[in-house]
Amino acid sequence: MRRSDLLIIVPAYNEAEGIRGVLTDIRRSIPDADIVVVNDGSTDATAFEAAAAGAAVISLSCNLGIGGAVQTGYRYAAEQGYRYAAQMDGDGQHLPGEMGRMRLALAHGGADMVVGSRFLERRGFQSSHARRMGIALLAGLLTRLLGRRVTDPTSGFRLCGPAAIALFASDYPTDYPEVEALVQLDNEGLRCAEVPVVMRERLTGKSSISAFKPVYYMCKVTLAVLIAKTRKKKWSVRYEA
Amino acid sequence: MKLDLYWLSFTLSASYFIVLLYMIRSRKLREQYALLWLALSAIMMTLSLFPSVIDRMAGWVGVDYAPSLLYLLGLVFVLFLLLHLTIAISSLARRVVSLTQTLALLERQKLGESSAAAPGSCGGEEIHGKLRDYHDYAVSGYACVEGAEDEEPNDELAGDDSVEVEAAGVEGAGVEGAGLKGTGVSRNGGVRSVAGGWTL
Repeated sequence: MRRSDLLIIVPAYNEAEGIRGVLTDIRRSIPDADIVVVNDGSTDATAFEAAAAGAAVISLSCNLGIGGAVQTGYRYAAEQGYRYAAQMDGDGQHLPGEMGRMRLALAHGGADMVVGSRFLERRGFQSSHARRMGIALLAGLLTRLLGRRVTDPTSGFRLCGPAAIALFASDYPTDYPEVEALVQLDNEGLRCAEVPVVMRERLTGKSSISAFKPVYYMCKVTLAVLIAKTRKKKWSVRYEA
Repeated sequence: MKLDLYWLSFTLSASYFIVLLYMIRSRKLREQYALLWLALSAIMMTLSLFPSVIDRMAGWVGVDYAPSLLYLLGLVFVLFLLLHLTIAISSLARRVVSLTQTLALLERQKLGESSAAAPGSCGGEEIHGKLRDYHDYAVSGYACVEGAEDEEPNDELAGDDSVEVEAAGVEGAGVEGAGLKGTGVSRNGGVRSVAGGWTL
């Protein structure tokens, strides 16, 4: 089934409305990539729409949340032997046109993972004021912990090389995984680099972080990051070789 | 005549012990957890027969009011048990995630194989049909969960389930769309055993 070196992982939960457009967009901008949609137990026709757009669809039998869905994609990538795997949201926030620059950065920068950052050049949609502040707090924390400048730790626009794929396939954080995954990568001695990208406002659907959850989100993520930083290698939970 | 409180509490602890044994025998409780509960009920029986033990223990640790020591011990035990349960749930949750992913990946593999086997077509139509079936099935499956009751033990159901799933698969593939509502209902057993699993 593998036709290319690059797999685009699109986690989707109840995105039936917009998914077809998003996938067509990806296909047009990155014609040489395979696309897999991880349908995270949607109750609408997401799986049908995605298949109609020509993507491979993996349907989870119940909702695992973004972390579980994305990890499914990485497991698929590892199983099928893809060298590169990118994750992009199913709501159209991430512009597939930016992938070229990210691939270039991964190929020539010596990094194991490249993250698309909204805040490196401050172009495009910059998110709401409150959310920006929360992200800045987390970015500060991570910059300090990792000893390397991090500007957009919550970005889910990522491109991974073989080592990062293997790591995430065997172990990936469950809820609100993006920030913690950066620490996890660092724990394993892998390198991550940021590339400036433009994002747009989501076209359809809602953010997984709703109005009442930001406080919980900040506490949970901060705690998870601090704990992940102190985690030792011998404790890592791995399912398979 | 006056009811002897000590004998009453002993009878209660003893019947608790017997109920526990019965639960282990009928496999409603796994031995690893049951051991803890059996130990507790043994302690309860001892204390109700020899309440002076508590007084003596309070004397050793320097607690003036003996019953408060009892409360302390009870609280510590309950906290310990709760921690143990959350640990058990965490490990279960991790397994469920891994299982769900593996299942989905295997399903994907099967879908890919069957579409590759069909000659002369890209397999797209077939995949769409199957996905539509899958979607309908999933929706009707959810509907069943609400009405599901858990009266029979799970292990008795397990045998029938697999047969019903087979039947549902064949029917769904043969009659596109038409047979789906019916198969959804007949899958009740499968869904129910899942719901039953959570009541552990």
